[in-house]
Amino acid sequence: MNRQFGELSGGFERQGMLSDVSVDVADQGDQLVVTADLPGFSGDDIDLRVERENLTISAEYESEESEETAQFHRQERRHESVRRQLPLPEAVDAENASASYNNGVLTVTLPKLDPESASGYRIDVE
Amino acid sequence: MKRTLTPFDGFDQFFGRGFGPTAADDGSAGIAVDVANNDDEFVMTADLPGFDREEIDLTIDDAVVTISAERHHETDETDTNYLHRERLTASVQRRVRLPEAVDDEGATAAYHNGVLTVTVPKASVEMVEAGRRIDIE
Repeated sequence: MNRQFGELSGGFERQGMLSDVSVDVADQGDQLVVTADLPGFSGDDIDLRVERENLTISAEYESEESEETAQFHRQERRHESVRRQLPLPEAVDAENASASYNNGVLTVTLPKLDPESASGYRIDVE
Repeated sequence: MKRTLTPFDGFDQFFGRGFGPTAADDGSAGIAVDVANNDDEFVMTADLPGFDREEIDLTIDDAVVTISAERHHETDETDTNYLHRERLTASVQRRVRLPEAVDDEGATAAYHNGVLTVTVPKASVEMVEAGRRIDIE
């Protein structure tokens, strides 16, 4: 298990160096919560793909009017579209994933896939 | 995009003479800033993801804009086990000097989708020469 995590965080770091999107990944027991800084997008601009052990966040800037002609005294912010692919430390239930976007921060909640039900059907207990 | 300082960089050299680049611009990591130089105003845009409007403090004093953002409520982290952390969670501050005289009092700001936009009108010729402009009604 430890070895597995070690490999995974290595993967995070490698990708982080190339990425524009800063993320946190939290383990909350029965779910993983991924938080990503995506300032300046609107919810519609963000595309999220969840697979069993992978999360892909893509966000595309709508062309901002006037920016193309503006003269910049200082330009540090990124204006390209961004993409981040994250290997998840364990299998998640993609169908029950949910996401919200608030104040430039995307929060993705990914329920863990119950290992016992992984091979069969999961039945919700109400 | 990081701006590289070179000795021949006209603008930075100009300011470097008077104040040293650090005096008015702490250049600290944490807040990426664009400053657009439009005809009659500067538009400063700053990435501040994850703050509430009330957590952002913005001041302008003699063309020096200071943005401070303080996080008051961190999401309940007590029983959260972070597997990976990259996002900045600390409070941040950034100070940027605008390159021309401006009308401090005319500055306006908006915060939307984690981006702070500050619009500062440039000082009119009369303001610069006379020090203070008086509107004729």
